[in-house]
Amino acid sequence: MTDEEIYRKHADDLVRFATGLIGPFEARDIVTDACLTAFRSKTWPDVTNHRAYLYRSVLNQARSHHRSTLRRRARETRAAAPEAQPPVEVDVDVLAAVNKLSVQQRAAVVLTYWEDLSPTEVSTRLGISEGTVKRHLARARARLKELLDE
Amino acid sequence: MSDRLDARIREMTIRLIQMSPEAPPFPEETMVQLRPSPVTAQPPKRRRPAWGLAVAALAVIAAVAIPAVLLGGRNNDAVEQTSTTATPTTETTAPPTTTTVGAADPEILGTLPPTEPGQTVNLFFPDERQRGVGYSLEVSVGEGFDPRFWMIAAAEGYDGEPQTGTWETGSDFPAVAITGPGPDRVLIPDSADPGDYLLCQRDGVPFCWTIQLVASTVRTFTIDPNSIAPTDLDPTEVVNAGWGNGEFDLGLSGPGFGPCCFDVTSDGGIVFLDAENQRLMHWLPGGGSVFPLATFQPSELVADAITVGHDDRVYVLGMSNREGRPHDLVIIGLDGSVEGPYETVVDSNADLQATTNGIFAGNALINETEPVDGWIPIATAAGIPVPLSEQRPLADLPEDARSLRIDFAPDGTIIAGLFPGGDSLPIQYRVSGEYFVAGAFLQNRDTALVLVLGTAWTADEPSDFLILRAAVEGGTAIWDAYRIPGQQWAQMGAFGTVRMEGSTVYFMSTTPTGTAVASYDLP
Repeated sequence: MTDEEIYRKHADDLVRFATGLIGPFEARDIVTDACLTAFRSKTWPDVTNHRAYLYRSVLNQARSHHRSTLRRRARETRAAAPEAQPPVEVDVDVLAAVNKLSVQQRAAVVLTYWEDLSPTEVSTRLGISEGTVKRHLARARARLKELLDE
Repeated sequence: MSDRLDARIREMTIRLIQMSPEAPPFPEETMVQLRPSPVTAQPPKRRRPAWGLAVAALAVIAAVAIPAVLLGGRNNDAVEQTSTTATPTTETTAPPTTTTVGAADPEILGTLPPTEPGQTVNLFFPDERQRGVGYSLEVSVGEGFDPRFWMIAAAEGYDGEPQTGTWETGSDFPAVAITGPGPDRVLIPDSADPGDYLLCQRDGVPFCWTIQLVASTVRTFTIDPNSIAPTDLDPTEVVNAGWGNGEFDLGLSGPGFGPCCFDVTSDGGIVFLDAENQRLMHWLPGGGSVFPLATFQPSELVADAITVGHDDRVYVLGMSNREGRPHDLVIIGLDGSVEGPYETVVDSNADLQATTNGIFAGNALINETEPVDGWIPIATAAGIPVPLSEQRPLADLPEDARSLRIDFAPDGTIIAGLFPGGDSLPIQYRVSGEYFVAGAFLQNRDTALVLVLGTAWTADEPSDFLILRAAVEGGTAIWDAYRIPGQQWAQMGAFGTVRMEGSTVYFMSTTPTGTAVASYDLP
């Protein structure tokens, strides 16, 4: 299977996952950067579980860009002409809730509640321990509980 | 948690995912490789090597030394972290055992001596093969090995300009090509359990060493914060600024767009990076007078991190307008003098730390339960910018320096590794329970690791912060605990919102009316 075929197979899921991590505005860029990084990797030809590998790449890319995104977006909004982008309907309340969470917590939430994965499956998908998944999930739920109960 | 909460989170998640845009087209950008393709392929899951065979394709010399590097933090008396220590290094001229380099396991090259977590493995390359700095530590699982840790080696012999995208783990810092005989120094993570592992080069020629990790002899002191009654500390207001762009204001355009970060001058003044207004503001001690030090033009530099060096100059890191938008360094004196910009290899937001060994840019994710694994020098202790070609993670540092490393065990326990210079044994402080680390500092050379635990977010946060101070006296750890009120921060993360100068901890917080900095003197 070529890289392009692999990409076409998983791109939609990856964009949804990225949206869950950093919102709809940067999701496309994150997926593109993550896939380029993966395809360039020396070990990519030997990867057997492309899906898990690309999910991990997207998570890493989102973490790297998490902090810089906010300031860059603010600055570039001021400095640059708006680009033509497909309209995205934004639910401000949901974005506000997501902003309460770290990227790792968002990953645990998206994979648990969107893909219905168990902590074991999430840990496999993200390459982290099951205990870490449970910790991220517990913290995310605690934070969201406060917000959603308001 | 209730089913009702689960249902609401599920609904929220679905609403979020429904915002997803369409997937972008296949990224057909030309693939750039830093080095030639490896000679042999690396299987995704390694088979157990043939232990004990005695033919080596390369003469691999392995050595173990007590750790190097990592985090930075401000120190009070000219000696601090981020360094290699001087504990004896042992080297052997040949590995105890080696394995055949053959068709079965082409990447297996040798065996390293038993090593403790927290120690550094020195890898030598007599034939000076080209390689990268990325390594994985892979734990033995059944008949194979699975990657458990990802690490960056400290090395000499850099060859070629840094490029990104050659290491698959998403490191914040560029991969680089190395040649030369080594040693490349790889720090074994403190939280690695004893057992059989492979230590594998992951960014270049694919080869591995078998390595057995044994139980650590590092002095370890564990504390449950709940076992200490904290002392409440009273704040002293240092800065109280309004929102806006006036003389005594700091900008805020919305959650996440607050005044970025601050640091403290040697006389107790406060320097703010007003990110929204892209200016550097200096509050004199007492908070009654404010001077603008610099204003940045977004077309040239977008500042996003600062630290005050031991020379009392302000080191500013910001995104350049150059291709790829890497970050530049600008050095600004309290008299308004400006040096720079100087190019750096930093390609995303990074915290800045001033140490007696210089200025370091580090992983901005320190407060999101990530190990600090990539501090790189960008200016010397004398305030001279480090050349681009020498800006590498975990570079060599003076032997009299100290290093502080924050790690997290799988159960969430905080592991603060303190590596003194000289012959002193490393010390490992473990804090049980699950806490966010807002800051980690060395109060002075001889004592006192200071951990600031807690987190604050864009909404009201009811939980207080806990400041833990630990020191070893007569072989016993002395713990002090202090409590300060919960803080509200405009920023999404915590980095740059807590600083320490001498025995005083400074907190930046945001309120509906502006930004404040309060100081807390540790007894």
